[in-house]
Amino acid sequence: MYQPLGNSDNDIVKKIQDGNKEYFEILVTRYKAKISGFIYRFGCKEDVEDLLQEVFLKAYKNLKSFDPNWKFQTWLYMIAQQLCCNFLDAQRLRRHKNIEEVPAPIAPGIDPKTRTIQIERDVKLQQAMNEMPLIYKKVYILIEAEDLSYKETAEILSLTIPKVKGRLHNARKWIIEWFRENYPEIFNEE
Amino acid sequence: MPCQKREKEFNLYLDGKLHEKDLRSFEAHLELCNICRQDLKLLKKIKITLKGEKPLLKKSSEGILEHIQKATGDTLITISKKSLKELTLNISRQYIEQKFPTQLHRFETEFEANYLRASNFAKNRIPKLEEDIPLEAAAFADSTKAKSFYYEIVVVAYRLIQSYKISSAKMSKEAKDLIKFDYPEETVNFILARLKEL
Repeated sequence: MYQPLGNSDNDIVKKIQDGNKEYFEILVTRYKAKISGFIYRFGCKEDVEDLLQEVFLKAYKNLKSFDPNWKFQTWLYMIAQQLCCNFLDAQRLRRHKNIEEVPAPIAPGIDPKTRTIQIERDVKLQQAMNEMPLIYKKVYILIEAEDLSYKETAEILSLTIPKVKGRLHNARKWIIEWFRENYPEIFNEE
Repeated sequence: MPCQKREKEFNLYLDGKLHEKDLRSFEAHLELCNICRQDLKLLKKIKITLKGEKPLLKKSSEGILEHIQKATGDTLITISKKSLKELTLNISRQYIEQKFPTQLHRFETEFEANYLRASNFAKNRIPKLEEDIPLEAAAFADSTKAKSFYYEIVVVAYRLIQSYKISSAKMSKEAKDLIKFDYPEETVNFILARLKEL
């Protein structure tokens, strides 16, 4: 029933567009980890699973209008970042302030002092990322955490490449200043 | 914030895109400038931390596809991709619901144990259905264990679904064998009909 894997994303999309809906599973399997990681790092930590399925649902529903000249990954990130932004906006309106985030788990076997420093640093980083203006955050996450190129980031966010570069540099400046102001100890850590 | 005059080089350096000539000059600056060194270290640390952040997902790809199926009414999961256990539970439960609705709770309570026994039995006695090991041998081995009505239903559902995943011809043969070895004909036919609807 399935053709051998190794088909390009756009080949798979074409098959789905032709009515072979079960092929969508291949795209879900290919991008599940990547997109869930992006949603998580974007700050929608507690709602990753819900948002992940919404991203794929939206992609599936709009697959008919997918332009084969696009790159599927770019298009999926585009949907993901839109849904994350909408979600964070709605959350901000609901709560007015951010709840305290649970730090990411740290590998066992690290001495307690280092562990405490790491936890504190992770909490501060999450706080900084939550406070970072969205226009910087989108670029910063896509480039620094997702390892996407300037070109792909520009396509996802409908920006020019110089604009992406400018926002990335501003994001870097912003986060350095945030740490200098809120957690200067980090600069003395080993 | 890195030194203002060096800001462009600072970013290019971070992106690994600084030309060799400028690279040497910038590295010489880094030796002297504590602020730029600290900022660089911080940004690298943040990058590593961000990249290492990964969620623990409870939902499988199948769960996501089910969500889409529910929302759109489209069929994205074919029977060959559905889990044998889930199908066995769903289909045998339908049978109980229709024939013995008051026994549903008992059936569900015993399902896990019965499923485990049915699947272990199938794995141990009939390693691969496609190898056509005579069912007589398998049935004989199974007959040494006490059979309960609920167990029989699970066995029937499990075997028919497993053979259906191979081919519908295999399923028909399996159905005949099950009836031949005294599994309730009505149950076999009910489950057979449900599977043909899928």
